Amino acid sequence: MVTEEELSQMSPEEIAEFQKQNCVFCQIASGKVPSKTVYSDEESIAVLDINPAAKGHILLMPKEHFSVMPQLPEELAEHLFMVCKSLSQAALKALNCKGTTIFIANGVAAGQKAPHFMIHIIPRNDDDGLSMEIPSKSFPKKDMEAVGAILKKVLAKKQKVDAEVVKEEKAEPAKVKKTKTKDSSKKKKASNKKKGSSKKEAKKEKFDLDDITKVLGD
Amino acid sequence: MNCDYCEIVEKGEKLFEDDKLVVALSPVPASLGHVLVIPKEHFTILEQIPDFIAGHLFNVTNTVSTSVFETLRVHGINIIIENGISAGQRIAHFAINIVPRSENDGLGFNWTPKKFDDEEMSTVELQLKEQTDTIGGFEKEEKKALTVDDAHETIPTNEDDYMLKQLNRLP
Repeated sequence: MVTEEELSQMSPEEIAEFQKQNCVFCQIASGKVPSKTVYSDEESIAVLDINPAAKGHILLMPKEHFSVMPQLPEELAEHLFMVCKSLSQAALKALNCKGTTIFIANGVAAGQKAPHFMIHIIPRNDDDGLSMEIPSKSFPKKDMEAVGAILKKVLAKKQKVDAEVVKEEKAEPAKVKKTKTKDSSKKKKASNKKKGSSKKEAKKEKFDLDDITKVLGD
Repeated sequence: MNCDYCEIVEKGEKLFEDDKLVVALSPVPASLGHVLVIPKEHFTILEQIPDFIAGHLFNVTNTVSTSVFETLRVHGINIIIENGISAGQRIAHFAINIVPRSENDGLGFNWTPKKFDDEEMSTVELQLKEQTDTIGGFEKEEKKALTVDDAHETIPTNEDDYMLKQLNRLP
């Protein structure tokens, strides 16, 4: 085992490597730890949860080690969700259940127990006694409006920065070309590439923390 | 047709919107900043949604949840889909819930593990495997669908073809 002290001296890369080596789900993905695999392809694997909420509780995860969802590359996220859809369908057919709950926990506070991103697919039946229901609460209108306004601003900013990143990318190779309709064509490209650059952008951007503290302070 | 989410799509207050989906605050939030990602088209359950739209929905969910996480400085995020009435779905329009979480917020999306013996687990494994055998065609399917669509516009109709042939036959 590694001591605390050794751990504190590791570089972030080394810690990531250490986590990978000790991740039980990576070992499941590579077949070192036996599991009941219900589906597997090049990028993803789906196994039965050994601590299931219901019969047929499936864990779908990328074979590569990602701790949380924001780290997932765009294409992999898309692929995972398409597999997730198919698995939900498979569960409905195979187990004769009446619905599925698809559940992702990001962060310990959200109930994440292992540092490997995964999607839970839980077969559901009427009166199965699972308390997975999302409660309905109400919050002061003022707070809702404030949160809405901030998120709207952040998402718009994100979109705008993405568009600019794409513009830059596009401008370099195509400097010579000057089109009359550059505005519309750029916008099109931007929307296509939007999410590809969103991760880079997310790190770059500093959010307006003053706005948030105002809300939270209320 | 009165669907609460179609109403949001049509005239509700939105945080973000593109050609396939809208992002809006949940009208019945579990926590402050509870956001919904809703496809514009009225699909009831996940299984009805075309693969490429499902993929896109998930990607936007990822981006938005990162934004929510960073902006509201919460401790975690749950992404929950209630797929079917048995799963707690209350509105017959598919939506992805992004629920911000804080420590000790009392939202327990938890379960007590059930125990099934090895035989039961193996049976379930086999039952599921039978159905998952066919998974994997979606990407091709989606691209095929697109190219067929493109081709549809450029390939001349049979009638044109016939006329061309006739023309070629002319001495």
